[in-house]
Amino acid sequence: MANLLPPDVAAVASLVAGCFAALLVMGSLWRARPEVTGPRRGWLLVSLGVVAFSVRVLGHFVSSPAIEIARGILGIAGSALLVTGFLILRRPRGREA
Amino acid sequence: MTLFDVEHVEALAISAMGVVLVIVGATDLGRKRVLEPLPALCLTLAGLAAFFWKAPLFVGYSEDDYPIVEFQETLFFLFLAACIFFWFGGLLTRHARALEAANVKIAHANERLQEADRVRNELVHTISHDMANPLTPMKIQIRILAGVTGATGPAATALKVLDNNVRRLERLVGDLRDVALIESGQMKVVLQASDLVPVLEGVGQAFKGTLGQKSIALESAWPATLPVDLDVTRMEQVLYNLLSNARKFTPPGGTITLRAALVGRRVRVEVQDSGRGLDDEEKGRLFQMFSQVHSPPETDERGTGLGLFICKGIMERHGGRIWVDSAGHGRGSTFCVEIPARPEAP
Repeated sequence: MANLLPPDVAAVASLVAGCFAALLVMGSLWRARPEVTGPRRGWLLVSLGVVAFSVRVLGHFVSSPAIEIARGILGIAGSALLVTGFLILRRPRGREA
Repeated sequence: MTLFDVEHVEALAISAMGVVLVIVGATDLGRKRVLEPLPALCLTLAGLAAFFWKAPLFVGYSEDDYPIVEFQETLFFLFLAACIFFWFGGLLTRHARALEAANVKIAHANERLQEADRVRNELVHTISHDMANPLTPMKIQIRILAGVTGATGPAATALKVLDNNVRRLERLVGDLRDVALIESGQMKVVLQASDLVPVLEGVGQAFKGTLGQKSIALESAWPATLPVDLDVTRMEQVLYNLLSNARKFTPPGGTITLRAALVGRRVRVEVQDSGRGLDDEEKGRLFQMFSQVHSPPETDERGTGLGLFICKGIMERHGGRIWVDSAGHGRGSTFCVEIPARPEAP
């Protein structure tokens, strides 16, 4: 830990915060009813988006062109998943099957 | 580096996501449409952080700006996690509170129902007790009147109608009292080591006398001895009730069979009739209180819908059970009761 630079600490913090949020949602969705939490599909997409961004953070510790491309793809996918997920969650109740 | 390499497309996607999240969060922050203020604020801040994390790529930034841009990424994660935590956690917390409130309501409703049930039982018990008191002198007076006056013709008919109705009222009051006892858990059966065979013989003999006018045959079969622990009076009540039901639903010329046997370590008594039979729906509700199937039009016997409920209560207090088998309408029914046999049973 002593060798970690501030950006590394920030990356670890991002990873922990993201994984914690995704685990919280996915773990709860397993048991919570949709009428309580809202559409499962929305929360699933949000969780997957967070996971994508968290995995992307891991690339911070490795530097190579392939990793950079993978990070880029994860960032694009994560953005799409998060936006779609949040929009589904904000749709009025009853429209979700 | 071209405008359309992965890095730029990613930056475009994340910046656009940031704008959308700001719009979503800010809209809810202002109008409180879906999100509570705290998650809406976190979402707005996450959107701003995402935007300022990647948008600078398009305007160019120096090496000096890099730590700030990286910090925006961390902020994006933290605010996003906070938004999800407050939003999702809030939903679960609100639901848990609603459940708690519902549980309290249910507990109160349950208390009120229990109280109402207790009052109802007391009422039924009191009414049945108070109604039973005048019935005995009424019966005696009717018999005296019939004997003294030697009534004939319309007067005799009137006395007979009166007598029949008093008897019916007596049965109803007795049933109501039994129901009140069963419902309040106060029905007591005095189990004594007995042989079921004399009970069956006695009930069969008494019942045979009531069948003549309908031309119904009573067949019976049981072994020489059936040792059980039972309350004789209550068991007679059950058997008579089942036989009366069989008589009610068996057409003239039909047959009622009363048989008993040792089945494993239990004694089973069956009352089989060749009557209308029962469908599955009727079988399912037959042992509930006030449940009746339609009496055949040719019979003038009207039940209270309490008899089988009482039989079930009595059998349960014997450690036994009662059920009905029927292959369907027009195929007769078989009512079965089963109680534990004594150890010395053969």
